[in-house]
Amino acid sequence: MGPPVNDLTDLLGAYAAGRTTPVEAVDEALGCLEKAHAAYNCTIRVLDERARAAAAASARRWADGTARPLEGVPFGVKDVIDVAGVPTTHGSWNHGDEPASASATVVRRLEEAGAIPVSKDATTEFAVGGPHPPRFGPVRNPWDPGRWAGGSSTGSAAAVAARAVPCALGTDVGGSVRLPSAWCGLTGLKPTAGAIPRTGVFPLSWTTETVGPIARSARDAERLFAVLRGPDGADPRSTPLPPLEVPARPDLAGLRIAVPGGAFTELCDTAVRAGVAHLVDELVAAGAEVVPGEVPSAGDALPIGYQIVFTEAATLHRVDADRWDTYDPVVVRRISQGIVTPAVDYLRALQFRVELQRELDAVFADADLLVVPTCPSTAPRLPDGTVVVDGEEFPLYAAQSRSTMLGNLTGAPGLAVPTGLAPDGCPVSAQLVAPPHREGTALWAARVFQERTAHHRQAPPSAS
Amino acid sequence: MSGEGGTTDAVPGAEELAALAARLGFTVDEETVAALRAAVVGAETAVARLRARPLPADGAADPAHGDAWVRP
Repeated sequence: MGPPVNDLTDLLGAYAAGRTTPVEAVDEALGCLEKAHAAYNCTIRVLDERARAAAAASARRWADGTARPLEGVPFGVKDVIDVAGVPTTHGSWNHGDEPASASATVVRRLEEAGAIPVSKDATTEFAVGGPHPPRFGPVRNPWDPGRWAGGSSTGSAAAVAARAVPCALGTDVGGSVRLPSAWCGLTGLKPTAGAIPRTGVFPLSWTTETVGPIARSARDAERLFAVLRGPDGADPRSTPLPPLEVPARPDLAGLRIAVPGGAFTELCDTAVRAGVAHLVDELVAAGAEVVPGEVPSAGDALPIGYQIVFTEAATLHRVDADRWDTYDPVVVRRISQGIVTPAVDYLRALQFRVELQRELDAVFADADLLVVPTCPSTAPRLPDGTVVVDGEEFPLYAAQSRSTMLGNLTGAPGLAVPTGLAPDGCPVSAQLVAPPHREGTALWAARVFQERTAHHRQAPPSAS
Repeated sequence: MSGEGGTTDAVPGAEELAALAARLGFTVDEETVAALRAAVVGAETAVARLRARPLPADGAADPAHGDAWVRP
């Protein structure tokens, strides 16, 4: 009997101490996934045979002293990311019942580090559809099955929150790693654009898209990111990177944080704002200093970011335009906006991206991190997906990505960190936004916050 | 006439948008055209503001600067 296993770092410790083995852990993950899927509809395919074989090999490595950095850690894979020999459905009727010929770079890297893919997780259709994908249906939130787990990395977040797997791979075009992480009480990293190769990931928007880990702690996100990052020679946006530097200190002396208001907080529930304030208080108590910093054009990041996303998505999906009648109608409604975006507006939007980056440069001249809400509310209600802010209902897409699109549009990294529970019993979250390739600063601050608090260890009542 | 956060007069009508979509190779039904037009109208205020905003005088006109920003 050892300490409880809350995250993958604990799991590796349990393997090292001989308290459990990858065979036992993968067995348990597969059993939990089956129960989680029955309750939340989070899984498209379980990779049981392959996972059990890998677990046996991992157990041998732990026994003979050749364990790799993530040896025997089970993980989920959003089903827009290829796993060799397994179909990638993209959550759609329209693609993907042929097995993928090769694994995505991110899957291959985790496997080479010893981790074991155990599931293909539910996604909104093509990572852009609504909460009710026609082929697989909605994913329910383990914190409240009457709510959505968020999207688009919906099944991945639900499976991690349900304690079925310790971590998963998602993709993020407007917040699709950070939003479901926020709504499920998890720690999710959208890295700097280009830091993690997208090879083998079904594309949605080349300007804004990243792959990122969904985890239960900042220290886990750091371990995963360390393995996932760096060029693969295939993704043209993925170039050589500086070393990942995450201070190991337990304090934050010298860290400067800006806490902008404006568009980030003007439509934001009281409980979410209280969570941001709590995070700031803890960071300051650990030695950080609050400095001024605003992003004047942040309010336009969402509509202009969507303009880029949907124009690129419409371009990518034109090849299937004769099959749009079989798509999720929400996919069609969303990406069809991009058909009629004039080229001069698309290019002006890309120029706006540069302007926003310069606004961030001005803030980051005096600050190391921005602290903002991850999203305005707790998880959206099913079936309609409405977001409730201080008792008032708002449409999902008008509200959800208000603070996350900034990172997609500029390329800046953002880390979603759970900051507690709202009065409705569901998690709230704050986001740490860093300059490009300074993920280490956000991971450091989040780790220190999590060493001082226990929000990241809270499990949904159904999984406790 | 103002729509929800946008100006409907400034946005082409449904027929024109449908014709454009067809010319570009997309098959979209009337309902979709209505939805996409509503979305365009919804974003029009922000997009119009951007069109009218002068570019910074320090070279931001080339979107390649946006890619360079995230390159180490």
